[in-house]
Amino acid sequence: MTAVIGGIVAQEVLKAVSGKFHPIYQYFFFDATETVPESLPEADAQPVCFLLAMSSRLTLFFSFFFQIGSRYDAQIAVFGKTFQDKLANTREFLVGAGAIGCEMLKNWAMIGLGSGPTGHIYITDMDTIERSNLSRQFLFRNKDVGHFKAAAAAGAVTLLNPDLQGKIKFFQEKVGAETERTSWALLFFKYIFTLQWVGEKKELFNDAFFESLHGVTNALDNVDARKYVDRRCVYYRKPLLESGTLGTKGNTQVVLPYLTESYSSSQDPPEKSFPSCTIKNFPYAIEHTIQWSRDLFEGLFKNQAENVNAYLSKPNYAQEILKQNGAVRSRVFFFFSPFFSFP
Amino acid sequence: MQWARQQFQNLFSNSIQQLITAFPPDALTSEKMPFWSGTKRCPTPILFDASNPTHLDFIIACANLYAFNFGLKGETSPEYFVKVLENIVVAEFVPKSNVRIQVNENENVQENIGMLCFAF
Repeated sequence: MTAVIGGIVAQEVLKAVSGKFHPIYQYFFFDATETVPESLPEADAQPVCFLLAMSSRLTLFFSFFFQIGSRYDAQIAVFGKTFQDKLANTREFLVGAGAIGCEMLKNWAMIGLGSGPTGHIYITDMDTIERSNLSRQFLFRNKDVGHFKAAAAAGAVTLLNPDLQGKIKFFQEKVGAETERTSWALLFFKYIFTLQWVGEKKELFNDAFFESLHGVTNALDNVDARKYVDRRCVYYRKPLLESGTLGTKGNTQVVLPYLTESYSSSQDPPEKSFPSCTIKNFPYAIEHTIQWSRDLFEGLFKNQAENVNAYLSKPNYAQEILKQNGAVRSRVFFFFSPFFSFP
Repeated sequence: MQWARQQFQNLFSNSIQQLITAFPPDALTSEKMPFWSGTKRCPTPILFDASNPTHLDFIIACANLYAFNFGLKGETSPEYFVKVLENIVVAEFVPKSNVRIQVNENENVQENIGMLCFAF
């Protein structure tokens, strides 16, 4: 909730200093009552029920008496101690430490996720930090450029919340088929064929690793990796929090075993294409002219050459084309015309 | 370069001229409304001008890409291009009468005849 309000305030500040875009007008209402549990565990029930009976101002006042002197007191006042303990003892795996990964990790550090005795945070990101990352991946500083993202991010959030000292493990490995456990038999065959032992070293995200987790969070930059992690989460029945950004737009999806569909169950709709006559004869937006140029480039410099090479390498190419539909046929023969007219 | 120059002519001049031959700027639709209205914007053909950097850039890029297709060594000096372009003659545009242009998306027209006279 603090992160949401902070984000909105930051956006308003940007609007104010840049003079661009309209500030929020009238009231902006935000609540997150759905995060408050309907029933509380016994241990927490008494003080919280008592507090809820008070007016909000009194609640603030009285919550003072229930402080246990930890940095999570405000959270405990709302959600209860049991919930806080559960958070602290969560073992979560963050895949990717880029823009979303940094935000995520900061939020986790602030709520104390993984800071308890059995809690743990695992981060992996195969990339190193580039200067262009600094503007939005705020856990990284100038001195971190060139270092691995996961390591730098882990160090930065440990400073934000010292409770996480020794609670974060970071990797620079890609999450993919090559880093999951391969059977001994397969490894043995690989060894025989390649004479290279590619054994244990790469077995980072194996059965034991996934079994030990409570949940996985995706902060990835490509669909293939998302699908891979999704498959793994389905296999191990782990909840998955999926996220993505595109320009100013964002997307999240919560995947819970036995409750929701998985990430790969749904697919983005294909990108909108323009009618060909608009592109060709009646463009009215810069996107249309770009599409036209792209099509032209493809036709002139790629398809032409490919067709010629196919004609030269496949003896029956011309006959095959003749059997195809008219559009392709005329295109191919049309492209051939310049070559036939050479002296 | 000859090819690139002809491409320029076909794409930005001839096809546009063909289009406005079929639909002159003041053409009316069957409903007596101006044809070039709404999202349809009446196009203007471009006369090639070697001193216009955009025109010249097109020719240089086009010629070099085409040269690459055939494994020819490229040439990027603008002065050289301007010199050669002076001697390239492009065919005069003659509007074709047998061309039908697809106006709507769902209107299926055999439109290859005129528009496809691109290369030579």
